[in-house]
Amino acid sequence: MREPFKQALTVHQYHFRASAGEAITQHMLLIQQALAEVGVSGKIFSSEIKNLPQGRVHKWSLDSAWDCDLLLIHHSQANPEVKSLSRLEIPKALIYHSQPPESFYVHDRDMFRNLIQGKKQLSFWKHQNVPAFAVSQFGVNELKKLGFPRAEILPLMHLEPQSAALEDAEPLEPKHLLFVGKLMPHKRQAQLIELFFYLKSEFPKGSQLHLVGTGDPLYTKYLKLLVKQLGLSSFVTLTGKLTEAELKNYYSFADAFICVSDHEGFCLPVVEAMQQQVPVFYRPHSGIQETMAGAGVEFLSSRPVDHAAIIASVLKHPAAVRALLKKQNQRLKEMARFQNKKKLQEMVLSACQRFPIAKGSLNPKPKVKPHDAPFVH
Amino acid sequence: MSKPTFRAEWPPEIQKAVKESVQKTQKALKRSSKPHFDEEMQYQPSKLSPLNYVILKVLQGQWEHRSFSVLPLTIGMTRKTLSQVKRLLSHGSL
Repeated sequence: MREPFKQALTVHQYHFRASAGEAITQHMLLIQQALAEVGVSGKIFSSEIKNLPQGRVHKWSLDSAWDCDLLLIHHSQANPEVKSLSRLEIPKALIYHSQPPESFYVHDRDMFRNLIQGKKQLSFWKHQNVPAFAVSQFGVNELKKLGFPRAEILPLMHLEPQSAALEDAEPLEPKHLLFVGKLMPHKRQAQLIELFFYLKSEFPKGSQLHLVGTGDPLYTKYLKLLVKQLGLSSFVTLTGKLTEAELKNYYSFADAFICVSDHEGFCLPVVEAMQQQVPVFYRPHSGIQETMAGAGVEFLSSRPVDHAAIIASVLKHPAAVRALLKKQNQRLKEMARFQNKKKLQEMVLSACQRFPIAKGSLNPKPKVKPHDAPFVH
Repeated sequence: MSKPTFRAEWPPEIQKAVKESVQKTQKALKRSSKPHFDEEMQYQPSKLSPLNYVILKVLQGQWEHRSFSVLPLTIGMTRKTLSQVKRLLSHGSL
């Protein structure tokens, strides 16, 4: 039988920013690793590299990525290199990572513009006939609305089917609630603090809320003020940035993962929580609903006092927690059928064959300029 | 009948037990002390001037990757504000 890929292929990737622990960087490293396992080489390029070991990600320059069979352009917010990337006469595909609506950032003109510009640039890539992937159905739907009719989902992670022994938590032991995500207003950490205000009377002494992540400096200051004003200084921890090992430790002692965000493109932390046998409580908004698919506990109310009552009641019933974890493990098994390196390899290799050089990319002066592209909603 | 406040897939006996417990806890929590939010405690980022916002972001290291020459373009800041930030940085005030 003929080998499907006799000649060694090269697939490079680009995202304007790369930093340790950041979700898009993790995705680029996973793709690189998955492709290397089937003999496909490739480098990762970025314009801004932060806290990464030397050699993992290369600094982008115009003559960086010409020697590849496919360039995967990860797209999120405004990309400063759209122009130079579009002029490279090589096959390209876009991997879209869903971003929150700009309306969440009216106070931050920098982010506000970056998000709008990011959307305009999607429209530019559409005019360049660049094929697109997203990392969730939620992202695919956004792309379809923007005029990418053939957008497909690309695996975001590699999940190993696992069987875990379920252990009941001691009802009298202190409870630890966890949320992992950037400190941003739309992630609603303030509401988590408020719900913990109610919960502290229901929980054993020593219980805590742990908010993992860094983010908007103003919102961070606000959260600290809120914690102080509500008298929760010894109950709420804002951990800042953690190493992978430290994060794993937080999951290992968490009794519940709570997410009340207004927007999540996929919400990788809920998958990490499910893998670590932590029951997940969430508001079924945006991409998280698709990720959980009925597992965990959905909050149907938006009031912190109701959330507090639900969490307290569920954690008091070991049988309820056991049933939740069983369902979450089933969900992980379902996800592992698609979220794996093999699927990722198949899809990227198939893209190498299917995607010729995008028509528009041969034109040095495209009709829709990267920075003047009309805003499409 | 009040609207359900949660949804989870449980066997009927667990569903019943959790539902009853939620109702009981809700009543108890509503009777307990409520967090008091005065005007000071509302999140009001719009009250901060662009200059203060920039300073906060610089302090947190969020703009270390950006060239200061493009800052006015990216945040719509005036050149006067930019020079104020530069001056504060050069004097070590930030």
